[in-house]
Amino acid sequence: MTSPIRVDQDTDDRITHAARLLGVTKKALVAEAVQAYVAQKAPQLDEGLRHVAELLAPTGIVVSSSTMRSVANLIEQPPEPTPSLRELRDA
Amino acid sequence: MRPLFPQGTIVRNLEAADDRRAFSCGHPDLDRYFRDYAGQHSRRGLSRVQVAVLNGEIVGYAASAPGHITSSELPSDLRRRLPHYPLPILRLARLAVAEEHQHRGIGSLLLATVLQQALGLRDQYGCVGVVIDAKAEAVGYYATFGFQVVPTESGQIQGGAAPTTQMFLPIGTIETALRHDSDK
Repeated sequence: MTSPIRVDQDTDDRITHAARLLGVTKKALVAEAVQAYVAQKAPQLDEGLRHVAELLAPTGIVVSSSTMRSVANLIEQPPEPTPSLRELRDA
Repeated sequence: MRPLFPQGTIVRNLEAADDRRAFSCGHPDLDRYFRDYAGQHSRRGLSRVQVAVLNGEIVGYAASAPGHITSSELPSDLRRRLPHYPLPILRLARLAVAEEHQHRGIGSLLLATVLQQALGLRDQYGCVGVVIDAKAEAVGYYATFGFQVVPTESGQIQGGAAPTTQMFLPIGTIETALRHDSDK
């Protein structure tokens, strides 16, 4: 499926002119130009993808069985609060 | 006795009208999150974003969300001690204080708010503790509050160039520390 892309008159004229000079269709020229642009902007696109991944970051964590044992111990026998933690009571 | 944080500092939920553009904690990833994503997260209910406000200026924020901790393999002795489903936690994904307000106790104030939130979560839905995603330079800071490193196999939140370290504090310790005498 294809969909038309609206561009302003100047851009359309430039595409038409360049396509004639290069002997390619406007469609081929735009496709190649987009490919080159995406390749050139790869670092920024990667950065953008990383941020999207951060947005979708899982809220769950998976730990090994030995770590889970440590967590279970902490839950069952919670350590006494540190002085810094106790100070938060008055915050 | 020295106050723990600047007088007049309040903590409240992030509001749509809050100006987030000027906030700078010195860490580009935390600044970018607050500027570009905190509003969306808050509006869409993906996480709770709370801000510390002093004289009308946002001087810090904390983003948290309920989460869970699970093990890829549960040995038989642990199966007897733990439920067969992920353990509910409150996850403090990001906490930042504006550069010019650092080392004044605002981070502690935000942390205290999140820990109180964990107690509320425990009372209403269940919560075995708080997991913090700490940047390397913050691991020592959270350790002073008793958070312990829990090596994770997956589910880390990326903290920019380097992965974050997950640290856990059990709810029992939080309750002992924050419970007021009148609550006993």
